[in-house]
Amino acid sequence: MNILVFVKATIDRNAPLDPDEIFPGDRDDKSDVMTNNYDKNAIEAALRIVEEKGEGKVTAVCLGSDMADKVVKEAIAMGCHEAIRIENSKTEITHFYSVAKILAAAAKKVGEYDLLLFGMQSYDYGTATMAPMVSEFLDLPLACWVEKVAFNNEKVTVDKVIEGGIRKIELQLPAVLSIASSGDFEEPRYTSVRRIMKASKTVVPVWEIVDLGVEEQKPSVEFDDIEEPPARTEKCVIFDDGDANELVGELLGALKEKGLNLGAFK
Amino acid sequence: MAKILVILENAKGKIVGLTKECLTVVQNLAREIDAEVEGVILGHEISNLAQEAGKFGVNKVFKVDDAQFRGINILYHTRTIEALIKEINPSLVIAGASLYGQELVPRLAARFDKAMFASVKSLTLEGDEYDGIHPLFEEKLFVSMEGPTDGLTFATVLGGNNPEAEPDDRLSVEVVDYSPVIQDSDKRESFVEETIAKVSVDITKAKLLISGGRGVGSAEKFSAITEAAKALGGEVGASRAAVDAGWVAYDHEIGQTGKTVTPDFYIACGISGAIQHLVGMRNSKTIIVVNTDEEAPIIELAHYAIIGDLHEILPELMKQI
Ligand SMILES: Cc1cc2nc3c(=O)[nH]c(=O)nc-3n(C[C@H](O)[C@H](O)[C@H](O)COP(=O)(O)OP(=O)(O)OC[C@H]3O[C@@H](n4cnc5c(N)ncnc54)[C@H](O)[C@@H]3O)c2cc1C
Ligand SMILES: Nc1ncnc2c1ncn2[C@@H]1O[C@H](COP(=O)(O)O)[C@@H](O)[C@H]1O
Repeated sequence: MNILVFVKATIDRNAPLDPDEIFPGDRDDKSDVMTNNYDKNAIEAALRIVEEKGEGKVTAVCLGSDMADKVVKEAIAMGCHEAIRIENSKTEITHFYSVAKILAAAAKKVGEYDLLLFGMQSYDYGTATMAPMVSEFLDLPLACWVEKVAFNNEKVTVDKVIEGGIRKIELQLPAVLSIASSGDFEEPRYTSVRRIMKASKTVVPVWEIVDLGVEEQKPSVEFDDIEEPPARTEKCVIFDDGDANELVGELLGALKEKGLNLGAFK
Repeated sequence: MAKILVILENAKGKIVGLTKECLTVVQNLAREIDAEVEGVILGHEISNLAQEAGKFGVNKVFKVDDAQFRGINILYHTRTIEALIKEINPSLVIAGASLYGQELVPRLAARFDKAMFASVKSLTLEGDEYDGIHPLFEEKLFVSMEGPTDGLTFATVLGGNNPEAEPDDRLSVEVVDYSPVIQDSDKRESFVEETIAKVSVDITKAKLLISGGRGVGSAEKFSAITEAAKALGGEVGASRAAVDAGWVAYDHEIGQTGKTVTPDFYIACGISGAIQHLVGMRNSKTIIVVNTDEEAPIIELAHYAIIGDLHEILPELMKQI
């Protein structure tokens, strides 16, 4: 079982957000960059599938600038056997349509795969378009928000999240899956300091976009201005000191001061 | 005349609410660009739904009513809608950004080699371009997307940002039977089965919601939430994790795959605040969090937070109110 897992570098949740610097390549400080959270669920799924089958290889694929090296190496530290970074510093391609074309071309270049796994959404753009678009560009069947997988012969049966329940579908391999944040792969494994040290010494091959044979095309829909929503004036009032009786008393006191009556519905 | 094609999502014998929200966006656009609104509905035994769509301003509905569409197969849907698009030449193909829409529409757009207005809160006309607003960083920033109105465009509309279109019984609709288009390669996907919970309780009108998540701990302990809700005159809400665990019925789920609520008070107990939950409750007037973890992301959104065990705090709350 050969699995490609697509991982993205995004701005860290704890780093300050700046509308002018929304991509890792815009930042100077590596600590501002993290692995897109949901991609760890996809890595977990890939590793578990290979472990359960007792054979196979997991390759992490990332389109990003050298700021993304950290992310590719984290994938190795988690247990991915190989990784590829596609260099994206000079051209800085970020549009999902173009990224999907590049990732599909990279998969073609790798050639042999049974499964392509994606995180369910990216933290920055969060369009959730990548898995469906790549599956279409490669003409492969697709299931998104997958919580569970089972393999039989050339097929994979998946449980996918739907509104109010679960749908089971069967796909012929090779197939594209996006992995849910809930379900069997909800808890991505931690990696140890030792593994991170070891991974940091691995040399990750860097591919150039020009070598992938992607035709350059202007996306039919483009991104324009970035806006901040109006800032909230008050911060959350936190009560963390005292026993339950005191904490509740403080909350009710604060509500009362604002003219809010939690007892109005009895 | 320009044409807008709306994908009419249906589940459990109903047109889904998000499609009706999408129809509000479509009606406004259609008025501005003077467009014809057409719809496509796919499923099995859905004649009444095709008729119903007319009440929401759809002039013509293409109905694909076939046993092969009893369970959803995205490849079948993609192929059939692709054929329809080629036949009727719409300038915009639009659907709700439900889990179905988010899987189907990007695939369809890619088939026509197009980018799309992916998961937009709004889609309006700015001069001779479409303008769509898409959230970044879990709604901490927003970006506008722009694209020409001539040619073919695809879009999905996020839930919870537009009111559902109101039905108008005076409107009539032309229903056209459309045959499924399926190729052998589409059989690489096959539907096996699905479970969808019934909904009988409506929590969306409640003024006070007390919601429980995985932090509640067990089915037995969930009574802490139900009892507090009862004592304070509120309704019970829940995260998907609590629903999945079987502690509470799906009727109570709040978020992307559940309800969108805007009560006067929302009390989130043992809920961490995944974005899929937040999108369903973020517009509540006063948000109160009870969580043992002072770093739970939901606190960023809250007005008040008690750092503590919900099983100690809720009984105390019942005592003091
Ligand atoms: C496609 C898709 C759609 C989804 N749609 C939804 C949706 O509509 N709604 C939804 O809610 N989720 C949805 N989810 C799931 C979502 O991603 C999260 O997994 C889920 O919201 C987590 O639920 P939780 O906050 O209850 O659990 P957790 O994230 O496990 O959080 C539990 C919290 O409880 C706290 N806690 C523990 N013990 C106590 C205690 N004694 N007292 C107080 N606090 C305590 C912890 O500190 C923690 O913050 C969806 C997922 C997918 C893949
Ligand atoms: N630049 C990238 N490199 C590798 N994988 C990516 C990249 N961008 C997106 N992905 C993958 O696509 C998924 C969905 O992202 P998105 O469509 O942007 O919401 C992510 O969770 C990743 O698995």
